[in-house]
Amino acid sequence: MNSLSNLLLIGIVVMLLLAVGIIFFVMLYHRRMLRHQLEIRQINAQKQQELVQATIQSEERERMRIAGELHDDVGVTLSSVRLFLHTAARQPDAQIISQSCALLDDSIQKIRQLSHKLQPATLQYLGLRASLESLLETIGKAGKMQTGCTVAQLPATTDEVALSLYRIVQELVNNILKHAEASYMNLSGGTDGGRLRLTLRHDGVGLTNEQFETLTYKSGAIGLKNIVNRLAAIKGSIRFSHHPAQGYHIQVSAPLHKA
Amino acid sequence: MIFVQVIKWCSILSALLPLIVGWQSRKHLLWYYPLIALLTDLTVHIAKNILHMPYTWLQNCYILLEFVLLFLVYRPLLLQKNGLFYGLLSVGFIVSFVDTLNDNENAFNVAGASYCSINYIILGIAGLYDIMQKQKIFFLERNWFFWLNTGLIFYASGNFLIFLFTDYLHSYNNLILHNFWVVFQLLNIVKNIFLSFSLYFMQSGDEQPE
Repeated sequence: MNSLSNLLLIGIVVMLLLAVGIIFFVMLYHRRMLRHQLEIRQINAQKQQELVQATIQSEERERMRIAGELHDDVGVTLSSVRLFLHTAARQPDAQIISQSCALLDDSIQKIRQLSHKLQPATLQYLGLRASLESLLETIGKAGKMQTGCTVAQLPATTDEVALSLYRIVQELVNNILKHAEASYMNLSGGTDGGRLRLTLRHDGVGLTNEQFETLTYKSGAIGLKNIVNRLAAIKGSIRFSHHPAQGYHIQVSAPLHKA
Repeated sequence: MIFVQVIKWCSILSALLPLIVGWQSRKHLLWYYPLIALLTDLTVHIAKNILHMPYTWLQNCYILLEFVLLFLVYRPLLLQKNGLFYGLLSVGFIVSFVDTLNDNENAFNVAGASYCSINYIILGIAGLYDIMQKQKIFFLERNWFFWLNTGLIFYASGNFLIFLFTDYLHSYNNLILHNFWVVFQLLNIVKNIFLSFSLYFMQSGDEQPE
């Protein structure tokens, strides 16, 4: 009987120790998960900050570029025109006036180009499809690579979605030109279940989804971070993939907000 | 003997702790668990020592009541599926009923008590697993559900073997049984302490059982 009661006591102690063990395990596991969650939150907060910084830097760079072009190009030309007109005011000269007109035409052309870079006119007047075709055509004409554009007729969408998608494709195309060493690039697209899908295909060196995610977490890669920001604004998504026969694909999709 | 009496009364009165500490949470079903325990213990004491009446049937009723009450507390949290809830509840009643038929209503319901203990251990572990899986709680030590599961696992894992061997010990040596019953009472005190933490941290109106 004594042995039974001893065994029973040992059994109870073992059961209690198991219970304590389980509870301690849960507490330790919970602490570890909490630490892990906090780390993830910190990384995400850092990423958000970098995305905001990227937007600010990008805007500042754009402002500096515009300021530079206006000052160094247009400003100088208009100053020359002013000088010519002063001279013409004292001593009228048809040649001086003709030169001034030519310089003014040049300035008007440069301001138009600047304005087009800021907001492409084709986007406003002819829509997203025409703007994308024009973009690819311009690059093809530059002779650096062959381009193609097979975007289907797109339904009207909001200005925000159209501009964001245009800028995203513009940024992606610029990156391909700078880094991919591609000889061919094709843009295709259409609508699919209420979403607008654009696929950029090239035969150069591209990114995978994992590499894209990694770059957006690192400092630098401002262009890619701007893409992330623009996609977030229009609730869009991007996917990088590689097909051995077809090269690198970049698929951008966004909900079609009907205008 | 005095020590045993002190432990006994501490065990009975320890139910007051969660009742007082958890007064703000008295709308929740869990608050009634220590209340029913206190009333049962006092009634059993009166029946046994003052009125000299059979009292084991009261303990058996309490086992069933405790079982139903805890299942109702866990229902909205872990036992949402009707099949599981009613199935486990029915098995508990059947086991208790069969054991009562086997012995008599004045014998301690060993099978029922053991079955309930197993269920409490499983519920406690399932509750802790649920907490780990959902990862919604920031401060584990301030969560009422964590303390409920901890108290229940502790209480049930210590008592399971005592309940299982009650009849066997009773038939051989009542003194040894009484010694183990002291262990039960100590575990009861610990359970009520954890229960008071649980009721203290419980927000009134949160996760009410159906």
